[in-house]
Amino acid sequence: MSIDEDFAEFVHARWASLYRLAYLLTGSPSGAEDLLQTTLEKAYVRWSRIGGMEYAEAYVRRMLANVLVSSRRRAWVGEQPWGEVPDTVDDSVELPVLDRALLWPLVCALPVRQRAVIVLRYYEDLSESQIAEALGCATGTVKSQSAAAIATLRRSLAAAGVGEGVEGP
Amino acid sequence: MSLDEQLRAALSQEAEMRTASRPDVQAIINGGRVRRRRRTAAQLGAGLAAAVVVVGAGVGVTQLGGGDDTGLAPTNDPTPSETAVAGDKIRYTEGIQIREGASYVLLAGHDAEGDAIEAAVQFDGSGWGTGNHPYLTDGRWSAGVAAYTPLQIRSGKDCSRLTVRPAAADVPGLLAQLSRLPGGRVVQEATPAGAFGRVTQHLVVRIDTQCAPEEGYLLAQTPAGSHGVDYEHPANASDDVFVDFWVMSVGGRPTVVERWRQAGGPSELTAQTDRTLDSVVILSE
Repeated sequence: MSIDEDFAEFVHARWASLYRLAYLLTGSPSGAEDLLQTTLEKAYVRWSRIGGMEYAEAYVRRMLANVLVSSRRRAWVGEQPWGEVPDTVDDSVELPVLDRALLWPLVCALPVRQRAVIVLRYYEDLSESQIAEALGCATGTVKSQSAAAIATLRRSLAAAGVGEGVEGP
Repeated sequence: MSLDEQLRAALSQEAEMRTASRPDVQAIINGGRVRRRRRTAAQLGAGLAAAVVVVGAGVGVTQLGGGDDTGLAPTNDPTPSETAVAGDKIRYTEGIQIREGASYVLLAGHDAEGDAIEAAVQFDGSGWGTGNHPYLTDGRWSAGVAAYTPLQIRSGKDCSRLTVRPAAADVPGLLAQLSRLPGGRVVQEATPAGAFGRVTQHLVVRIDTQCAPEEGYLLAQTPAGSHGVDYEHPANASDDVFVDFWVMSVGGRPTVVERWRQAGGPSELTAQTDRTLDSVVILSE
């Protein structure tokens, strides 16, 4: 099997799964396709090496996040507008069980890097060190980004008037 | 249930609800090949400095002027000749001779990071002219294709006055501007379309170019210079021009691939532009 055939087989087999991750990372269908296209083009360039990996898909999934947070990608992904959040909130406030339709827009409203950290942590189940490796940053940065994202989500939920039911981390 | 658990559930549910379109594997491979060639060229020291090449002055169109034109002018290339770029492609410049079957690279503009946005294209058949943007003519009728990141868009309610506004910085804003071109009416509202290896918004506008005071109808100012449609011919049979816009975001910059044709023109011209468009792939780092 040629490299092209091997690559094509990989793309056909993993496209749907990769697309879902790309969608979560970008928050939009068109952004997801654009991100996935760019990432796979880059993967193709190195397919002779990536294709031989035991966990090629895992590698490409991390490439997706890396491409997303690279500086040239930030501009077009854009941030989805969301309302002002209060400066101070009471973190002890309990919240009800949340509907996806409420929580997902809040995740989309996060800055790109924070959103990537959240998606890699809670959807990909990556450790902080794995996230740091995928995003090309320090573990400490992942921790701070994650903490900031969670704090923003809590503030946004409070601002949305959601107040009971969710325990703290 | 903790917020962590809620996040896991919400993300999984959101992902599962998404259905992906079919991948265009060939477009991906083509894009990958271009990246590899660029990398090889860079490693050889050639790089892609040629990306700063800009195409020359227009053919059959004049500079945009008046209104709120900020005076952005094209840079002339005094020696139109074939310039090889990555791989076997030829840099498109004003005045070069289009060779059937050859591959060309058009510089559409630059993204938010300053990297080149280019369009790879193979021109179908003969009859192609090379102005700021390629056009096709049989001596009476004309059509054309273009790829550009617009700097300014024709605007205003009075088509008899040539005025422009800065191009919108995002795709929806640019679509709105293109939908309101003076003398134009929307034939097809912007609809999502996969094209050129990208996800685009396809908008079709019909323009009565007779109202324009200038020769032809100047539609936009682009990095390659002014861009007009409806080139003048002695026996020009129609002042109406259909313009297909495919608008997409490339590296943070709204980018347009365009096909224009005169209403009532021969189907072969349209077919030639269609086949040419089929070959277009937008390239970006």
